[in-house]
Amino acid sequence: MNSENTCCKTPASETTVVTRKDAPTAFVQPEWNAHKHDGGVDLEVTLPGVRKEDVDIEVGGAYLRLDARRSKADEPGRRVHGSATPDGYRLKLRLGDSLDGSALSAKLSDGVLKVAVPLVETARPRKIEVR
Amino acid sequence: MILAQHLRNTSPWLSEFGRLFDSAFRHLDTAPNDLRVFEDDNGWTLELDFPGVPREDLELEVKEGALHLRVKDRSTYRLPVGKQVDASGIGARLELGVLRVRLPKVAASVETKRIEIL
Repeated sequence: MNSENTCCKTPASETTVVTRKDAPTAFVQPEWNAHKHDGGVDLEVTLPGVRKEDVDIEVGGAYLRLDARRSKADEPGRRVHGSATPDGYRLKLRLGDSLDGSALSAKLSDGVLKVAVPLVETARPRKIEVR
Repeated sequence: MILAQHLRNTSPWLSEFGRLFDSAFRHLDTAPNDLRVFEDDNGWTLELDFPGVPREDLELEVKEGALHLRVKDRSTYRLPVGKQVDASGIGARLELGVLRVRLPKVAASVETKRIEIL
């Protein structure tokens, strides 16, 4: 597997992440990390206060775009201390050619989104039988 | 964050909280950066993000006039709660990776309670 070609080599600063360009300031880039393994890449994105129905993940043009809105409707009263809760989180990641974005799966629990992006079939390690 | 003596009465965090909680700040050890406090007619709600932190890793305790929040393997916060807070009614909830601690106000009627003479 060509590591240069895959998304999400840690640490985050070295990756091909493209930060939000036109997002309103109330949307912030969430903390995230990536773990590479034989079958692909597992992403972990922290999305506190976000419900699963408020997460959009889109894959296209070699990019994964994540858009998550944080519910503020149930804020308990007037904020008197601390900074404003962000309206949501946005993340754009470039997926390497060896990753199969169309086959990714995602699960949100306790404010953490786990995204598994598998390798495309041809990029998966396989054993060659010697006859 | 442990505040130096000379900062204790000048930090905006302290004066805010002081105003809110009618409290002395001698015992304030830590003030988490991302703490949000909301107020409504019946009390205050503290909000902190703990994405991915399991419920059992958080421990909340009210003692000696302060709220103690311990996060396993991480940090301990100690927030004084003033006389306006009904310590017996404090409740907490962890949902979607967000911890909310409810601090109800002491009912106003307590201040002007009529004592029946038997």
